[in-house]
Amino acid sequence: MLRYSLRRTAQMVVVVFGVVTLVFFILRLASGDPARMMNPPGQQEEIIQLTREKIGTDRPLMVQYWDYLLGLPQGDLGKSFHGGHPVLGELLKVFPNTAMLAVATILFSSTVAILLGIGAALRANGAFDRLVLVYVSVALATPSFWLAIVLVLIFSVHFDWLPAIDMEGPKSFVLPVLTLAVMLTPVLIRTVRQSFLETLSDDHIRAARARGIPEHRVILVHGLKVAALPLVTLIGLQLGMILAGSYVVEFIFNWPGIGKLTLDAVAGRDFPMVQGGVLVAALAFVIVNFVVDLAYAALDPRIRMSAK
Amino acid sequence: MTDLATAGISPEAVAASAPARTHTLRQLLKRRTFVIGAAGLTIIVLIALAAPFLAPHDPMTQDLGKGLAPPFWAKGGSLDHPLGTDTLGRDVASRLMYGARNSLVIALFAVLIASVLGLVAGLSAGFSRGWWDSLLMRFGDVQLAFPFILLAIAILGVISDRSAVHLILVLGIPTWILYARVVRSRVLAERDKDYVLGAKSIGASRMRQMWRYILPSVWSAVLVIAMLDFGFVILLEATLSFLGFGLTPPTPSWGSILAEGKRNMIISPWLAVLPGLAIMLTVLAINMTADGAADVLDPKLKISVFRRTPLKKPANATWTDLEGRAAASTRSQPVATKDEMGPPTLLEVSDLSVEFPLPDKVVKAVRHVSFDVHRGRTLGIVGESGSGKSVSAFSIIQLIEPPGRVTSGEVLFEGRDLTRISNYDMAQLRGIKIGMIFQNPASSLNPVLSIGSQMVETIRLHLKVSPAEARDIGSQALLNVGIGNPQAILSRYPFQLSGGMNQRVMIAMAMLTRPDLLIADEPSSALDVTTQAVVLERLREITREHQTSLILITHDIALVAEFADEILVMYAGQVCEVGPVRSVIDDARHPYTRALLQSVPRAEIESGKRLQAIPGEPPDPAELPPGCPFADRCVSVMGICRQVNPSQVRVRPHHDVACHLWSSDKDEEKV
Amino acid sequence: MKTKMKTNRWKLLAAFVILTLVVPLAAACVPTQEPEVIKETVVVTEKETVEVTKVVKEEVEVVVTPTAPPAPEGPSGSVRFLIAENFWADWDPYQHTAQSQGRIEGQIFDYLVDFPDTAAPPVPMLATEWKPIDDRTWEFKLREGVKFHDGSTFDAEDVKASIELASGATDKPSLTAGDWIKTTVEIVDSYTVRLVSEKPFAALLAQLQDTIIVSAEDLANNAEAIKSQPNGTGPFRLVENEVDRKVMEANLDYWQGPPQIKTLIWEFVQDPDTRLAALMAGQADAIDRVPPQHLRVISGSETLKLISVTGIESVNLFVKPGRLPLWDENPAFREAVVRSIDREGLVTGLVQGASAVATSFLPTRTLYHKDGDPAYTKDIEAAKALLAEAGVPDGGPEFELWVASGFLPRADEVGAAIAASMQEAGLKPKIVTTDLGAMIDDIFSEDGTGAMYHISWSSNGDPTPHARVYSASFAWYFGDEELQRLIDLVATTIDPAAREEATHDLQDLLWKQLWHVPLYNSDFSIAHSAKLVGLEVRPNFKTLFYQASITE
Repeated sequence: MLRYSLRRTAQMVVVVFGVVTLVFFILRLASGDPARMMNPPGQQEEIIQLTREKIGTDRPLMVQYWDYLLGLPQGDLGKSFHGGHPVLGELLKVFPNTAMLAVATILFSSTVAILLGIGAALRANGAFDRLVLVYVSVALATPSFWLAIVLVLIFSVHFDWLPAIDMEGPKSFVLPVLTLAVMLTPVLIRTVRQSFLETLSDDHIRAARARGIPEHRVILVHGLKVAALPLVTLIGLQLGMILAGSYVVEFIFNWPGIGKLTLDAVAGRDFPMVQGGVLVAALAFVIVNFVVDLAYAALDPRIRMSAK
Repeated sequence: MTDLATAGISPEAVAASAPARTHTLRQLLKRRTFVIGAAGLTIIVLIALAAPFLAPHDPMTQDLGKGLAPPFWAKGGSLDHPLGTDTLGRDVASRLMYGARNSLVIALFAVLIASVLGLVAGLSAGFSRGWWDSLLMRFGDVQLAFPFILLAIAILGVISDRSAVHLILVLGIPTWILYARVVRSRVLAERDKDYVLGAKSIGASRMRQMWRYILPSVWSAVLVIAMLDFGFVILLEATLSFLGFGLTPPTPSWGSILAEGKRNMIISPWLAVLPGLAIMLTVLAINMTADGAADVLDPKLKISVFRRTPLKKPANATWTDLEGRAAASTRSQPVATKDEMGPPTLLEVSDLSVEFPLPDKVVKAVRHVSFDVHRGRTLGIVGESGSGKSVSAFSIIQLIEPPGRVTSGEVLFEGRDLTRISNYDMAQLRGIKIGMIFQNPASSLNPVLSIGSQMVETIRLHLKVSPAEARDIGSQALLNVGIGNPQAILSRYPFQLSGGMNQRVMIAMAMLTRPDLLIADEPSSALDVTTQAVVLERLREITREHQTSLILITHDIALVAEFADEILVMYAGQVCEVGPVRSVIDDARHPYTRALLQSVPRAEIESGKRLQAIPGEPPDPAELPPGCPFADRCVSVMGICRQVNPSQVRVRPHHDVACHLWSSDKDEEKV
Repeated sequence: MKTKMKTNRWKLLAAFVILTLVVPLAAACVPTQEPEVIKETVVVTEKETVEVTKVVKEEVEVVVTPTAPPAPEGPSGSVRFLIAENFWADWDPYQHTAQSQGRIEGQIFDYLVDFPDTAAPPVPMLATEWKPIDDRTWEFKLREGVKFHDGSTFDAEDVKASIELASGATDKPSLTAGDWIKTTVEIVDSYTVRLVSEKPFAALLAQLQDTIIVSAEDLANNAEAIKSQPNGTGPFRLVENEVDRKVMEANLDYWQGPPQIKTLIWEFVQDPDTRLAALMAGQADAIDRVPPQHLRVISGSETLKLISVTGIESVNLFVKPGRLPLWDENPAFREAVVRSIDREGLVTGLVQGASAVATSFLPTRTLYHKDGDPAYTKDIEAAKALLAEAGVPDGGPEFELWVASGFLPRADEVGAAIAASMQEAGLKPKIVTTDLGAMIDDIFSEDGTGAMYHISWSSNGDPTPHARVYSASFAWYFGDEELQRLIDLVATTIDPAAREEATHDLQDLLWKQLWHVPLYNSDFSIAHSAKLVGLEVRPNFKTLFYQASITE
């Protein structure tokens, strides 16, 4: 177990390091001098140079990279080009907002997926199953950002039921979570349905029925305990999708999270902030997947015991 | 990409088999999802190709005076601009048609790049194994471990003049790993197959091996992934465009039309709704096509959305077994005797038939089977896999997997027809009056629940006791089946116990309620020889002790000879021979029974040695003969055997056999 | 079984068909208004307001003493303003040129003088009166009893420290120095200062409206702290300083009396649709830079109001010298390009609002603005004739016209429209659409390929900072010495009449030479909820909430 954890940690460090390095150089080698972006077009060169010195892009590239690397282990992610805010502080400030959105999305989506997935599996090829499959295929094909706009038009602008932007109170979660859920649920429903179908035909389910266990217990206890396992892994893997989706959703709903921060920073060539945003996303992704692996082991006695 | 990566395309799943490609097209055309999807996709592609002829206007021509004209069905719209105009007065319909070209071409090339890269990487990794393989695969892991859209945004965000080529590369390159993984595992599976090995030994070069043997077996998997990837890339392109990282204007793509339309969404919603719909319908069509194709081309790829749920095969049966039975016709007549054989009858099965409807045919798994079980006696049912013995047993407690169903006959248990009582009443009988134990004890216990919790659950279901009391009852029950340290066992999980131990647990659980009837489906075949004997001995003791009737289902006639009072031999869903055990063993009449017995040396009957193979195979499932299903393997086959399915005749007291050797039909022919 | 499958197939098909039909129909049913060009936008001339403000200020001067209690009810309510530009800068004074920062500084800081009307003389603010001593020297009487947010008292030391730092007269570099001529400050007494410029500095007063006054004590001892915690004398003080969100609270001790709003929030929201959706949903009280396509939504609403002004912003096609030799050498070619463009169409059809066709290289709301002659209206025949005169009847070589997507309103569309009308005359523009960063790179890069760039230049309303962009210190200078001479003359002529004449000459020359393609003066529109009253919006983008109030 310890060896496994160590190896996984090393792997995570390599992934994160690679991503950070890649982003660092892509940003700087591509076009768009941040110092010029921070001045009106055509600004005098002396002023531009002053701006460069102020944000530190006047130094050689490798020096900047080295400084950045040296700062990383101490939690120093640099200062935003815009306003000099420490990047780490800003990221920590908005991270809970993205995390809350992600958690709400996962809770909602997995509940929906379990209900619909089981419902569909119980009457495979029945009317409900077909309805669910139609939903799955339509949702898979729906561009999420488009859906978000349509939802805002309908529920915020037209009916004025739900807030159009911001994270303020439970109501503000409805539209963003719904948007992300439409993106996430098709894959989850499919998995639950498939896994449930397979589990339902397992010997032990038949054996449980043969022992006279009532049907609801067979499904909800015996079936779900086994069928839910793939869901756990899947949700970990889907975190990437949620993170990607949160970029779009935070952009549209002005959600004060990592995604909005990063997108704003890309537009303004605020390199340290972009790097920070990407770093946090990469970290969150690898850590959550690690945790999911552990959770899987905890949920499945077969793995839990064999690891001892 | 994330979606694809996690949609369940596991290399293991696809590694196993090369798909059969006979009548691929015909099969495809049978799938309605494929037909609808492919038709839609064709229309979209045709529209895109024919854009210069179909488009009412040039997509770039602007007319500022005619900006934001509504579509024709809205007030103020006209057919001149059927879908209205955008802010610059450009025709939306024309832009959508030309936009389709760009979107589709970008997606197509992105997929092409990804699949070629993936194919090359997968082939080379699969063949070299070694360091190159692990390097590629680790790299792929790392790449999959990261939300790609972040990088896409970072890369595209700083490219100033984003052309189609940039988008193709950024969208295409990262998905190579999906293809590579599948191809690699296929290669690993294929390269050890006989024909590839054979090619190797006759000196086919490595390249030739790839082209001749490996590629044909991976193309369908690659094709299916590519199609799903295609839809995904279209969505991703639209998302990137929307965020401002798509094609630079004024080149139309669906994403950029949508992004432009979004700016006017509040006053002219159609500008954003129409391209959104175009994207949605296209991706839907692509996914449907891919799903339909996946079913046919590569069923191992478990990615289908629309696929009809595969039918669950009954235990011990394979598809071919079941389908093989379908064509066989039988004369409707009871095969087993109902004569009194001593103690009162507990269970009376008569004329039982079970069918499994498949999409294009009906598999008749059990045909007109009749038998009785007497109180305190043991009936042994013997037959090969797929002979219908297990299905018969499951139909007694109404646990046939859908879509299987009982089509004729009745199952009388203590006078009630179990095929006609409600689910609720049936559930009341199960576990109380009728218990069942299964072939594979480990998989018949829930893998993620401890033994104790499963026992306690069962006990508390039938007895109003506290969990602690239930635990005591459980440990007593375990003691009864010869488990010495019940407390320790209770806290274990099934995978931690040996097969014999698990089976004893199963027996203990089944016997908790002192059922009148216990059905044991191959209770010992998954166990090693010594354990088999112990478990069966325990089973015999406990059933004797409680005067429980037992149905012992097995393919091992020696076992039946030792433990059963009566014996029923089944073949191809029919009864061959039935009667008191000594009568059948000592004087077997049916050639099949004889063959079964001959394969077991007399002296070794006691030892429970496994059945020797009988020469030949069960009848070709697709073309069952009209006559006796055993005819092709029968040493005493006669002309009539291939024409008429024999009916059952009484040869000795309580001993019936269904064979022309003993029937009057044969005599008629002779005459 | 067979029939059942068939019905399912139809159900599935029906679901798709319904979806396909219903959504666009539903979309079409959302009420839309006939496309109409909006021309009845409210142009705030500010004249009346100015009078009112003056009266108020005089009263304030009499009534409000440093110890005066705030108004009986006190400030109330919270106002949320969604701004369209990133808060790029920190609060380090004079170390940025960001417009957003300048605008928010207007809530927190005061200036020596104020220009409620950009094309009229200034009114007192922290300075109560002023007079020129000689060509290079102005004397200012300062207001007494003004306090910084930290409680310290404003006096001549603060003016000295602020002005000298801002104008580049100290050792510390400042990013605002480009707008200044080095100016030192002599303290006559605690409330009298003399500003002495190195050279005659005609735009001094105008520059003062952009130069915040900070505390000398802070500059000397709190230089780090004030980067995140500004300390001004203005009506609001900053209480929360997040990257995209600045929360301010009423300064109860403000020398003109406390503002009526208790809490003022400025927040950056990039996407105009999101801003509008927030305003419509009641989650914002005012939104910045309403794009043209939203104007009619707001003017059609009873609960929303629009303030549109013609901004002091010239949107031109700036031409980079050396990239298109024909342009550099041939005036007829330049005029042909200008005559080929339907500028009226751009204004009425695309940028809309209060935007106006450029009639000079100095916008209409600039001091001493003068309409140019001829009007250079679109005339394809004339353009073709001019091309022939220029020796390129075929339209000449291909050139790149760069537009930055998402920078100016409808930049992509404007670029496309311009290219289309240029092509009508036979010109061969190639549109390059990109983002701002890449465009700026291309402008300054040695191997840049663009010839024309669709960008804007704005100023505070004085001719000098605006004309500067055409001068030798900028990238857009073609070596026209007369032009440089006139720019310098305008910059250094103190006498108003003489300066006005020089400014007119400058505009005439620019209009005749046509070094760049004049397009339009931008629309600047702010939308707000009808509950918000008293918001002041100026053509130089200053947006002041001091006199605003909100009813809940």
